[in-house]
Amino acid sequence: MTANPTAFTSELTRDGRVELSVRPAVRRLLKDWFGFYLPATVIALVMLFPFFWMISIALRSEPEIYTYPPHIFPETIRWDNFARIWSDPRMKMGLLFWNTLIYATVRTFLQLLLSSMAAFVLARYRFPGRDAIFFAILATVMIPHEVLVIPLFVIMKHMPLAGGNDWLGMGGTGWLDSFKGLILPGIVSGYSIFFLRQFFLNMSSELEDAARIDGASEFGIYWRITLPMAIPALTTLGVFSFQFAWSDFMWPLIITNSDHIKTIQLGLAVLQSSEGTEWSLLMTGAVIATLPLISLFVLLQRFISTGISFGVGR
Amino acid sequence: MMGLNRQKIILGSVFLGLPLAWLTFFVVFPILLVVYLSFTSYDILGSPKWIGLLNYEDLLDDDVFWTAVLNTAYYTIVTVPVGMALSLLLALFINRRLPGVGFFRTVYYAPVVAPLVTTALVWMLFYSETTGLFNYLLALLGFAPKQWLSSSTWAMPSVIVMSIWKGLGFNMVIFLAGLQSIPRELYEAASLDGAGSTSSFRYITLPLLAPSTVYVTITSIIASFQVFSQVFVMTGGGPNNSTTTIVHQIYRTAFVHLEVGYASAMALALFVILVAVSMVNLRLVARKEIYG
Repeated sequence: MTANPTAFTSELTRDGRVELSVRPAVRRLLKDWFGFYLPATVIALVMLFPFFWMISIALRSEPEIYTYPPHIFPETIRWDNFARIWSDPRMKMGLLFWNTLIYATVRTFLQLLLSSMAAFVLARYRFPGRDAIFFAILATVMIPHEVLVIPLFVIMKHMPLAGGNDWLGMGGTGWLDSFKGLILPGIVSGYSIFFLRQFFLNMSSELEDAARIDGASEFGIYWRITLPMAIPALTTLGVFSFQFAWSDFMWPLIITNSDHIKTIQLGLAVLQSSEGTEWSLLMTGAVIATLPLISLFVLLQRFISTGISFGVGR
Repeated sequence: MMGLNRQKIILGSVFLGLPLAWLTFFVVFPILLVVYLSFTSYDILGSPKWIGLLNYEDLLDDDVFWTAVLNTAYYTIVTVPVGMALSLLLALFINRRLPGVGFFRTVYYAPVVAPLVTTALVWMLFYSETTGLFNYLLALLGFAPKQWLSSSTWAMPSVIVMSIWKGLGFNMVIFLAGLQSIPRELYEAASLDGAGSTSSFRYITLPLLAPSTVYVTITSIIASFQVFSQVFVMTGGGPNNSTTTIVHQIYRTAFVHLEVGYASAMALALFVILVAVSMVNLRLVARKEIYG
């Protein structure tokens, strides 16, 4: 963390002379601290302030939020807000948390599975029409989520033989307000297929060919060789997919209705718009909704930064 | 040998067939369906009635929709350039080889990771008229408090400021990757030729950063046209429609007013705009190959 543990280090300059004088080292140190560390810390405080405020409000009693002038730190720290929110009937935090976890996890795993299957075939097999199929998949990436929301809702409602529908999809509610409707439309994405295909193409196929010669089945090659070797790429993609689903707002807003399917983001937004919002509890909920993503990010940072430089955005 | 090929054919058709069937059903079919629905009058409960171009004609006279288009344009025109300039500055600032730099990059990226809904909620607290920090700071400086989220003048700027904070880190990382791909020798050569930091920024950094700039511009514009959650949470499109955006209007029309056909026409209008932006993108990305 420190730029220069002592001001008296000797160092090799570019032309090879060893510099032993004190003053340039001190000047460098000052330059590093005032030119970088100090402003960097100020910017960091500004960027993090909303997070700090979220936590600070979450740990207050409700009346303290309305004191003027506002306190930066809570007068007494109210940890019991976290216990309270779990049992508060308006929040149903435990339920919302589990719903979101199921939504994000199942969706992510199915997406990784289906995308890697398609990517494996597109990267490793040669057959007529392969490139045309690949470009068709790539073209679907251009279609934004927001434009698909209306027709997907209509399709979900008219899913034949589901939710009381007849075989023509009429009469019932289909997959609306169900985990199927929440999860299944998002499990294949053209982008994930593109991303993994690119990764497989850059990966040597020697091991796979060797296994083929040894008589391994094609499925065994995919499952036991290709997938394990692609774990870094799968992790990157998985983190982004999980993050997206965890934070997703529009699709759960449209497709879900009852509490046992609603996600955490939806619960928070709805609670805010209802009357008599208890802001301290709401911020407690916000902390619970944010913490998993921040911890995942910190834990898997290494994968994520390679993912971003690869161009994974959403 | 034949056995192996048969195995490949079976596995290949299942492995590719399943995802392709999915994409056909959940992406290709819906896009055709939304085109069809845009020519109908449909309230979800009954069945769609074909009404030809009527939805599109209505769209031309729909003041609220045009307000939404203008609001979206306003949001884009401010968010994209300001957000880009700030994230470029941040990238330039953080592009050094000092211990601890990685820590600061992570911190600046944190808002990107946080869910949009929860961050919007925190910012609502900042914007609160009576207890919010912004009005407290204004009072300290001797200014009158502002109705941040409940006046038509300030609501959109308030949404914009929050959105810029949220997205800064993402563009910063893209710019940073661009900056790090510029060979250091170029700067060394320039400084030997007596170029100052301003002129090496002007003649080396900016031109060589062009591919990243193009990428960030296009993705930011596309993202701005899709702005929804923060509007839904912070203002609900109000006051007086001053923050309603295209996607918010699509949502309201389809799922609150149940005018699904009409909302489909709006969605298609948005789609045309986004395809146009993407086309420009493809062109420029093709040119990016020349930049290398």
